[in-house]
Amino acid sequence: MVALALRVTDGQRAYHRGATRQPVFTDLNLEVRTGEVLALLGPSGCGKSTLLRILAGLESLDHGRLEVFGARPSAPKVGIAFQQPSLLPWLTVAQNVALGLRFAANRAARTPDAVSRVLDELRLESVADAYPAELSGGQAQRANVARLVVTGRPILLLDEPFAALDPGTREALQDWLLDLQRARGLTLVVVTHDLSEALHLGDRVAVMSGIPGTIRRVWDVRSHGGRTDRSEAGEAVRRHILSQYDADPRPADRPTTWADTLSDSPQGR
Amino acid sequence: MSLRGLGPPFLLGALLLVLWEVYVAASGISPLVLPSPSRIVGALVDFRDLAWAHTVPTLVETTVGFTVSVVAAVGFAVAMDQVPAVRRAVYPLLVGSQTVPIIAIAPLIVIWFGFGLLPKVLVIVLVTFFPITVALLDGFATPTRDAADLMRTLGASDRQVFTKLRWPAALPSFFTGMRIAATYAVVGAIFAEYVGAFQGLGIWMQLARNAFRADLVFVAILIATALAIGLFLAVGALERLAIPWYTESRRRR
Repeated sequence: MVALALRVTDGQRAYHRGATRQPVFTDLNLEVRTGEVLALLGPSGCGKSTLLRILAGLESLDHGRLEVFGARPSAPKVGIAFQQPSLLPWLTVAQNVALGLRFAANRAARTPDAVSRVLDELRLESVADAYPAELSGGQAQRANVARLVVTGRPILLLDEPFAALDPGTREALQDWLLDLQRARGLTLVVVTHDLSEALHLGDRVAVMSGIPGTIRRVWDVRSHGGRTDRSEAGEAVRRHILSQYDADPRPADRPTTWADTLSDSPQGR
Repeated sequence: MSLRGLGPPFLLGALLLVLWEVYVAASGISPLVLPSPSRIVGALVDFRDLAWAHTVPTLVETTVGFTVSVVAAVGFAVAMDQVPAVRRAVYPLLVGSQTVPIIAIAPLIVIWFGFGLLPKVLVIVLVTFFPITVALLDGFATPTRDAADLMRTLGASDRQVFTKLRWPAALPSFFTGMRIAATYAVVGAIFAEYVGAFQGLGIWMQLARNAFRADLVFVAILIATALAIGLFLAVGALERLAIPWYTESRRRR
């Protein structure tokens, strides 16, 4: 049996606005295996980001259980990066990366050359002394990930990390991320609404859908024969995912269908 | 501001002065009503000792008052930011304090606290405290939720989120508030002197007016303006030292 990095059992979460209770997701079960890349795919507003915030410990489940490496979350094992890198503009890239090491939680990762090693490894050494305002979008996002990597967290959660980047940079960063993941043996959960990106990055693709959201099925992309959606196997997975979406009972008031989302995206056909 | 940036304001100022000079000469208006710029400069030179004697107290009051105001504003803004109850309690009073006409309250302050430094400092604080506090409070709200969340997942305590993220992020806004307040501070000092003082530019303006020396009133105005601009530039210089990352990025824009 493959060891689990993250596990959500019967997760439930709702937002409360005054007296009204708006469920975000219900009956949510998710397993993330140690060392895999799980792509979490779904349209906007289905609760992907909330789920990610819960996995990161920023919010908690109303009901259900979250386990990190088989135990209740305690010591920091999880790092999270958002779409906007939110690097601190008054610090250089190296200082931004070093920031996490100043907190007591990451004392173990504090070695004299920790920052420079990560900057080298993540190909950021040339901009180590640059300020965030001087970086390209791709460099900023890499620095953002470097901030997490330096703390030695084994699990990284990325919330649409490349959504704001141009297609060329996005592709380069996807490969960069997979290299990093393999070299460090990281467990990644990548939230995306782009099917091509999910197929390219994910060992498995979890499809989240519906309001309130839930995860009906997780596709093992790798055992279907490959990551690229241009392959025959990739097409099969794409069709499967799409058919599942079409079969999905949608509330009538939901304005955007999954097919709409796909036709908006340049890679989705 | 670069040397080239100084050109336009100097040219415009010079043009206005020339027009003023020409108007006074051509219209034959009495210098008791409107002295020419050359006459004002002459008066400044003739009365430089007296001018200096009245400038020093105003300068001291402004500096002390502004410093007290900044320190108090930081204290209040931090307390209001950290304790929501304090914010809810203090904010309306703060806004209310700005609707009190200074012209009504200043004489009372003099009655309560006399003719010394304290009432001047209080008036200056009253007029400068608000913009600094509000600017700083707004500045604390600059970082996005994501930025704060990222700090938390990295293991930062609430205190560290404040000291490492929200405080530095608030500094540009803080300095903007201080620059606005700097120009008010001199006016506040002069006004406080106007209602009750032994020395200072405010008193000198009053004495000069009562003696029908319009030229000396203008000398006092000239000096007060120079003080305000000086304080404004000093805050700007401090800003460049304190937050070079921000002034750099602003210049590039």
